[in-house]
Amino acid sequence: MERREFLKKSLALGIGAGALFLPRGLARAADLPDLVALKGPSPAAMFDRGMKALGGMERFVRPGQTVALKPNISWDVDAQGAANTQPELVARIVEHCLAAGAKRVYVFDHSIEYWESSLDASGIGAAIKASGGLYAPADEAGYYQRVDIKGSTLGAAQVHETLMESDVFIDAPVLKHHGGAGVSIAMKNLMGCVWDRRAYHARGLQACVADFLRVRRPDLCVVDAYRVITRHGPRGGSPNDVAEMRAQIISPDIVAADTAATKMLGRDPAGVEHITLAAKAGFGEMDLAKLKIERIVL
Amino acid sequence: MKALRALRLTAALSVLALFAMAYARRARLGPLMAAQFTPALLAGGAALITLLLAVALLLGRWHCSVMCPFGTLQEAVWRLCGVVTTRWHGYVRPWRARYAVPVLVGLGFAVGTPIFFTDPLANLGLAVGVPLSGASASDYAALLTAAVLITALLCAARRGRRFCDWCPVGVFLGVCAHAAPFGMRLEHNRCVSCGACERACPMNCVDSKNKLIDRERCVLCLNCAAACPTGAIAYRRLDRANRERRAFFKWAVGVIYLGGGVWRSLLSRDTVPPETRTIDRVLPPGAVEERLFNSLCLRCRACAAACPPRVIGFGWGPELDYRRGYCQFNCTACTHVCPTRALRPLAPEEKRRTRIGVSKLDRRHCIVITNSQSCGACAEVCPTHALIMEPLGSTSLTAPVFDEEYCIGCGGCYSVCPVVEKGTFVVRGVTPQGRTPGIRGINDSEPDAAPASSAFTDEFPF
Repeated sequence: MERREFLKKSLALGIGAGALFLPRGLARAADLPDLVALKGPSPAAMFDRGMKALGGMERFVRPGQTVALKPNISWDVDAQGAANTQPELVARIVEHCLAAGAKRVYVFDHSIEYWESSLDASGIGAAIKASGGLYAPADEAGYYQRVDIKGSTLGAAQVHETLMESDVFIDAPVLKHHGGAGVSIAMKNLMGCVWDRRAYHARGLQACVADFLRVRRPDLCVVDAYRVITRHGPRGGSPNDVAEMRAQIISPDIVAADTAATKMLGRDPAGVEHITLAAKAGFGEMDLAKLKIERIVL
Repeated sequence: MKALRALRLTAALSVLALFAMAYARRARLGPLMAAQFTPALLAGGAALITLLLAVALLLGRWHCSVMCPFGTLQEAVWRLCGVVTTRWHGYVRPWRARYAVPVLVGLGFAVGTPIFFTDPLANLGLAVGVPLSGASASDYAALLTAAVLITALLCAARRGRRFCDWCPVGVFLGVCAHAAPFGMRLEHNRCVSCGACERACPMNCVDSKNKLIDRERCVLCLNCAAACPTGAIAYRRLDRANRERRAFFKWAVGVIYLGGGVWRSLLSRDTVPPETRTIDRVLPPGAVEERLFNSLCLRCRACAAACPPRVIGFGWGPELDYRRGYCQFNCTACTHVCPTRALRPLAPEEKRRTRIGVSKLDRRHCIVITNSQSCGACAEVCPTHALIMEPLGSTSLTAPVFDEEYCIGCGGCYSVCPVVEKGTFVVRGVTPQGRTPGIRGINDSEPDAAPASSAFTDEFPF
């Protein structure tokens, strides 16, 4: 078979296969909730229940696909300190992806404190190993690719290669207070996908956080609100800063997820500029009344 | 003799390999580093230094052939180059000028100025530590050491362990060993002056024509014994006729070197802490008072190699370079590797409260205030909340507020500030390093500091 012919045939096959799945996916999405909010005894239990409500991980991950999972692994702080995503949740997301047939699940974060200490202290390093995921290193500029974002405040960003090359992108932030951005949830978490963090601060933090969605919007957002830093965020430091909310929000809509989570922190989403900017740019819905929300208390 | 030689080679190569692994952060050296001669002299304590001296006085320079990784490195270079080119070999007559080195180094110890570039550890740190750890070497100390190092390695390629002839430790141990009761003995009646020993000697200290071995320079590598076809050379007890005459001059050299080192080690037990002052450079955590630090630091670069985010850079000595990152709150890596205890080991809880420096915020340049845009990068990384974000006037923005009391000088704020070039933050060192109250708010008992779990209960707020 000639190369051109091969390419043509593969393309045709691909479109055919996609067409098979597409209507079914759409039909199912119609009666499924846009956002699931949970309260429960453990992050893993909430995630299991939440994904069931959302139609299962099979809706987002097809067999043989690669997944990029971006939790928060930025801090040399343990799970009690709540500066990072709960390791139990990271492991469970990886397991769901693999069960849905994912070829590989890459977990990465451009950590703020030293990556190895953060990976160890957070417990996420062990969780990735135990669940069968792969840690993608992010501590050198060589792992990042330049992406131009025309007409944005950010202009261009060095984006982690895993994000650029994977089929499915899952955002798994931890909900917390943030001294500079107001809140740090799904959108702010994506700042860990870029190499040059300083550019965000120099050009305008709020606008740049929203601009990143032009690079790639997550297919699914899982907001960990099990333990939540309610002040002195995003690092915390005192046990007094951490509230046990025992909650979780799962949604394919990043703006909706951030809006709902901001409310759980007791703040007005309209006062968080990056959320309003993203909503205005059409990346998601801020008006929760327009969405189908399923509330589950376990 | 062949078995003993193999044992020595294995031990020496293991030491070098362990040092390489330690610099690459794959192993911990502990006693191996502490038992290097200069560290033992300056900080090892009486028992250790007595042991090392006793070995040298009785058995010879085993320290040089087994324990010194830089000696082994030269020998390795010499061996490998011998494979591809012809080595020069023969007997080199000793240079008397070499005695000046331990004398000067001893006086340097006494006055608190280590002549570090002559030390094998400083050379090893540059030759092995820098490439393996990726630490920086663009500094004055490296430049000076590199001059010695490059000469040493070039000489090593052709003529063996030439650095050892000028090494303060080597010359001193040679002085100790010159009259030792054990050493290499050459049986004149069995020697046929074939020169095999000369070819095998990395020290160029065997003269086969005149049938003599310069025992002061011999490091006991045992190559000559293994190479000798007639078995005329062996490591043996020496009878009086075979021993060298004790030379007063040599003992004097030894006493000056040893005296300087011991004097320094006694001084370094600082009792009265001098008054706290700020200095331009920030010393790594655990550093003793600056002047004392300068007198103890050998520039072995172990601290720089141990630093996970590579924040320890060098000027004339180690200092934190916050342009590359900042000192990690929970990390104590560098404090545990210093061989001369210029950096004292810190426990993590101690480290988190150690003030290595102090930052200063100039809000006039802060991007929140000049551009009216959100930032908070500094407060985000500030581990003790010395910097917190507070509402800026009537706007919805928050701007940093700094409380010096909690600042540990880690440089986080400096390294992440997007406009630091404008002078938002200046971090200066503090010596001797102080203690802070810890994390702001961690011991608060006021009601507003109580867990804020009431953000929402079972009812979702949407």
